[in-house]
Amino acid sequence: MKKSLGTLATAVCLLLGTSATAHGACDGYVCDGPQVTPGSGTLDASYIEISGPGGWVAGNAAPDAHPYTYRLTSPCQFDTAAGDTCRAEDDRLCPVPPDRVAQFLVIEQRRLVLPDGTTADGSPVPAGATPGSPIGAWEAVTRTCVDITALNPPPSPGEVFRYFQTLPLPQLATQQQPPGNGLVGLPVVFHTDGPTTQTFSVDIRGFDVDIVATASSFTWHTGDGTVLTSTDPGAPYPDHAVSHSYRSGTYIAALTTTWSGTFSVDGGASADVPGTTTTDGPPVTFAVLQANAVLTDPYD
Amino acid sequence: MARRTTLRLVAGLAVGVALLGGCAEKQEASDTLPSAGAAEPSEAELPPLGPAEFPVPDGAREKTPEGALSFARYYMSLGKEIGAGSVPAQSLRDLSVSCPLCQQIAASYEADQQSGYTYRGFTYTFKEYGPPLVTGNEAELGFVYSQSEYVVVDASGREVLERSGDASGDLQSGMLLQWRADLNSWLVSSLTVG
Repeated sequence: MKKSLGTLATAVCLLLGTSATAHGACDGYVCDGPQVTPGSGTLDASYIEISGPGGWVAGNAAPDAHPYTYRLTSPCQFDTAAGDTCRAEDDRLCPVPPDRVAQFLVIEQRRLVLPDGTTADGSPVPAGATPGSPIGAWEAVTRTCVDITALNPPPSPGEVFRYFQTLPLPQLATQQQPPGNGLVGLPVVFHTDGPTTQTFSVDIRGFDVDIVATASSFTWHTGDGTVLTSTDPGAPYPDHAVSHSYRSGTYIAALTTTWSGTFSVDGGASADVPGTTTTDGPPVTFAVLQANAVLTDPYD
Repeated sequence: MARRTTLRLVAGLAVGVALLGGCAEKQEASDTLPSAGAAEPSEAELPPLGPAEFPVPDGAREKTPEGALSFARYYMSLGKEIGAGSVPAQSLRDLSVSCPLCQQIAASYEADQQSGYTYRGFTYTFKEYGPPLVTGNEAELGFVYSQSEYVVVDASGREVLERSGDASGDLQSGMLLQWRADLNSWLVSSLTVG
């Protein structure tokens, strides 16, 4: 049996405070199933119903003359907008099959003008308001788990991070000065001249997601056990910022680049990708030689 | 966007000077690291945070890249303590905010603890890609996480095969942290494992 939200005030009250259970068991920190959430934005829905035992389902296929429209907001976002702070109890998991997306959300509803020019609860209709137009303020109904699969929520930051890790980011090569062999006492200058910003456009569940990857940290493995870290790709002499002095010997140096990123969905606001990834550039091998001073007779 | 270069180790001599000196006398390679950053408030000033048996270390309660990294390491180490039964799984919830995966992991551990299960042989590795990026009240970092094979046993010591786990292999992972001034600590706001 399906019941619409507008007629289930009692059920709403009973469900307030219901604690959701886990998606499923994890092995330590490794969990199966989709980790897809609606992100931090607000979702709009035309219809919300209880389908099955305690399952709230949101969609955009409302019956004719449905008296309300709905919006769904994360509790933390809702509380923050109300001048409050995020609370630990705002975080609840929702039982959901692997192919569904559910989230613990605040449901708000707003009256719609019915075809006969009235509202479902008899609230006065402003002059000129046409049937189907929303009137009045948004009213918080409940906080509960809502199946939002039908709303096709935009990719979450975590979902984007998974794509971010698979992007073909440049493997920045180590450039060294002086070229060829180095000299003891003459610091070897390191830099890289590869691209430090890359833009990708990917399709995630039908959403156009633009990801801008930026090389945010450079880890220089000098080959003698020393590791240098910079937030700059370095530069050739004399503007160099990364250099290292060696003892005599042969060394293999390499650069590991850490990439951070931002993303936007369908041209929307930019947000940080929650995590970084790295690429390893090809190593370079060079010798560092010991130079010795020799006195010579210029007339010899 | 302006960038600030932060070298952890910088050669002490300019190239030109080194060139002159290098031919005259032997130079030793520079291979020392600078000392740690500015001192933070003394540890005694911080109220306890986290489970009493395994509190958040004071070093993880600093609003610095090092503090964020320490907190991330601590958070990912909680699983071993919880699995051993020495720490309540609620800790994972208390030290996160708006983090669905954190809640999912906590719920799984809580179910195991309620069933009287403990983990044997559980070890893990955590290797960060680099220092966390701290911007305002947020920090982000990427890391490689892996878990060993482990065996879950019930209260009588009998193995629970359906809850035991295989080695995970290296999992590319990421974490967002949010600085909470009222707690003087970081909290996990987003976690992705694998």
